[in-house]
Amino acid sequence: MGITFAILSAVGYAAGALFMRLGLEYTKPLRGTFISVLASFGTVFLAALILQPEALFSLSLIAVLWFAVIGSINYALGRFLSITSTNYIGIARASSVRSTSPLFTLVLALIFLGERLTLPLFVGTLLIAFGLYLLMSEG
Amino acid sequence: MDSRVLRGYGFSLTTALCWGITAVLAKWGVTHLAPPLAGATIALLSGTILLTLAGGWKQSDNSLKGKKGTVFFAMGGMTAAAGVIGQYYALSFSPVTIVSPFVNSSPLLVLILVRLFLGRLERITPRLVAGALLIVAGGILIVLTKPS
Repeated sequence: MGITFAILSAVGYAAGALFMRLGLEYTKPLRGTFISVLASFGTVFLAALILQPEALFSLSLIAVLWFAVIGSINYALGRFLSITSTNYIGIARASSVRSTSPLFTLVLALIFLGERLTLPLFVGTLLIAFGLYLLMSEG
Repeated sequence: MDSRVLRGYGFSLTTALCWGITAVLAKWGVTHLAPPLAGATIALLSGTILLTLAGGWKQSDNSLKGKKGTVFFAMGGMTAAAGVIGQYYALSFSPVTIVSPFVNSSPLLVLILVRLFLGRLERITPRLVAGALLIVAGGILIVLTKPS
């Protein structure tokens, strides 16, 4: 069951990226970002209403503020930059570069959480760096 | 490198930074403050409000072209949301070691979909495929190695 949902999730992310790429043929990035985030909100809100209604209406103020900060960084800024970058370099390159995000999470964990750079983490970092080099050296 | 292309890579990397930061914040939030769907609802609501304030709703276009764009972006937003919901449920059934390789492989799926449906808009080169494979493999290795 977990694998089925994981595959559906990957298909959802990929299809979403493709639809937004098509949308850029007709709409500017800022409006496109607004529409896509609004549609995502409607979908997730509906799912939360059906699946976790009690949780949705019993959130603490701190939880609301915490997730509002996340939404501002991830959905307002992140998705706008993501769609704008797709407008510049295309979805194939943009989606590959965006998937370097675990590297940034790792750097933050090394700096702020005092995690240690183990051999697998180092190898992962090298793979990402070389992958980025291959993409960007193509022009 | 063309300045437009350079900006594109810069924005993509900044997006990755945003997502990297929020992955840490969201992990803490869903562990200590709220269930994932409720948290995601608030996050998306705040994103919608900010984009409204930024003027995203103002640039409405009632031409056929504008309506096509609206439909594609709405479908994109809904399918991306389905991806988020699917990921949360996958993690509730299976450990991250099983879920992560599938979810993090979505850029490779993008390459396949672009090759199938957007061949007239974008070109998929062997170098691009190799770069994407390395980035995805490195990302999966990092996600599976770091303590969750």
